[in-house]
Amino acid sequence: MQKLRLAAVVIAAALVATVVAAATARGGATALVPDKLVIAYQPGMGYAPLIIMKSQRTLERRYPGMQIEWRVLPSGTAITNGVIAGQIQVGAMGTGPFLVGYARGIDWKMIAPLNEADLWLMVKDPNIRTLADLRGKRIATPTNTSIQAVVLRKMAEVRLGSSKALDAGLLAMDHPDGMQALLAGQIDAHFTSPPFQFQEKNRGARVLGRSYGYFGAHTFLGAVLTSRFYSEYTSFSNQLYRDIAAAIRLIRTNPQKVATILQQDAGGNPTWRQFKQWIGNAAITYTTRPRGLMRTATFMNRTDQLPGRMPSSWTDLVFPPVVPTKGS
Amino acid sequence: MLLAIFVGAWAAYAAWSEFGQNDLLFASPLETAQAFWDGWRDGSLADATWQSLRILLLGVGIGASIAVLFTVVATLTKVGEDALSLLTAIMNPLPGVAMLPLAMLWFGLSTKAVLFTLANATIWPIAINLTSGFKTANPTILAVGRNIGLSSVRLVSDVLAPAALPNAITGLKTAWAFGWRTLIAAELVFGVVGGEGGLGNYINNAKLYLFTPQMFAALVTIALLGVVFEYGFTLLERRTIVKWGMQRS
Repeated sequence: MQKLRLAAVVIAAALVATVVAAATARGGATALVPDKLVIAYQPGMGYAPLIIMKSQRTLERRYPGMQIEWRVLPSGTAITNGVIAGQIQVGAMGTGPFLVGYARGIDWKMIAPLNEADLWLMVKDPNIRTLADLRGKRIATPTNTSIQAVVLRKMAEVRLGSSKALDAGLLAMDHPDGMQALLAGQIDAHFTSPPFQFQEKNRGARVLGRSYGYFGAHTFLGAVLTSRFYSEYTSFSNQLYRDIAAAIRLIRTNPQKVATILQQDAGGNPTWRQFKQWIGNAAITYTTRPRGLMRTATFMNRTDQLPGRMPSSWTDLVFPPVVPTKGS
Repeated sequence: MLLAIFVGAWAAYAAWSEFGQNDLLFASPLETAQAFWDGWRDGSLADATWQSLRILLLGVGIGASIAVLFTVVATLTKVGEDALSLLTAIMNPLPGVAMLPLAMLWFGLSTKAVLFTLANATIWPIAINLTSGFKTANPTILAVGRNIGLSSVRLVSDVLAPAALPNAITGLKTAWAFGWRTLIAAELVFGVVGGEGGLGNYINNAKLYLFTPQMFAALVTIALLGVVFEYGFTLLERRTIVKWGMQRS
């Protein structure tokens, strides 16, 4: 009799434990947020959606207990390393390092593309008139795997017959350093991004080539998460997508305010007038719709810049919230 | 035996620890050996090594020539001696790479900047060692040299230089070690020139494309070169100063 009662108690206890565990697990899945969040991006107005969220304290206000850190790093490679090491949860980078990481087996996808941008190859020397004049010259891009370097190889393939024709002169410099070097005449060409290409143009440099001319309109930057992070903090990640989309809407509806935010973030210079003008420039369009990801990946793969796993479709490269955007 | 234990521990770490199992972070001995073999077979590692060694030899060569010149002047004149001791006191504690940003500003983003940094990193250890070699030369023999009427130049070349040989070799050894570290570091910082990169550049590029085994293979290459050079210097010492009884083996 006593044995039976004991068995009943044990069974009842086990049942209660299971129900409680299931309840907390389900409750946890919807309410779970990370304790600590490091968001890393790079210099440039392409990261405006994140800069807006940072200055409006969107995440800090929504998640009061969370330890949130914003970091500006010089290249997508640096951010890639941080993500692999587990020190960065949200990394924003160009499509080049993102695709290389994907191909090499980092289990990550875009939670939100940030924009499309027409990237300009800038030169200053009046003797450099065509791409052929850049043979043997020094050309700076952010890194060898950057989207700028990828586009440069596409230009080299189309104009000079080989994607590797200009590789010998490639230098890795972050955008601000590259701009200084180009204007000071230390390098011959700088493949850069907004706003640096606008600034260089204002200060006497010329546009030798535009990325849209070779790839069509294409995604420039995206915010990236690991699949592990996404499955662990799904609702948090989906909210992150909505926050980024809201910041992008603000850029469209209130460029004036956004320009002020960018000026503040840049420490006062360039001015908001400049930023407002640049936001309106057709060379940059803020959108969470990815475009040309597969075109970029296919070219990189064909020219040995993407060793490893190829995505079979653009939807392999993005998380569920991005899928309805009808990208490519 | 020790090496086997070391490689065993390495393999075990790669196989069992969570960090070691992550292919993007850590390469096992087998993967490293594979990358090493592939790199040497397709010539990419050989090219990088050759490029690094070429610049190293050139840089150390320039540095050593300048160092010898400085030391000779310093030995022959009082002003030169003071100037050299002042300069070495300032420059020698400075890590070689620290000069790189300045060199980049002066010489642009070119091999010249690296050569300048290398030469600067090697001049001072050689100069210090040579000077102390000259100073510790046997005064009796020096006096004999003066007595038989040798000119200052011949005094340096025939009396002081052979006497300072052990120090010269030590200086060269230090310079090589300094130069090698400076070069790899410079290539990593510089990390740039796609077509003519050395081993530092090779490591950087492997990192860009997340080829961790290649990074390990380049490190193994650097370590092996270190061993080879060390052995070369030991041989040189054995053939010269040990054989001539200036230093015991």
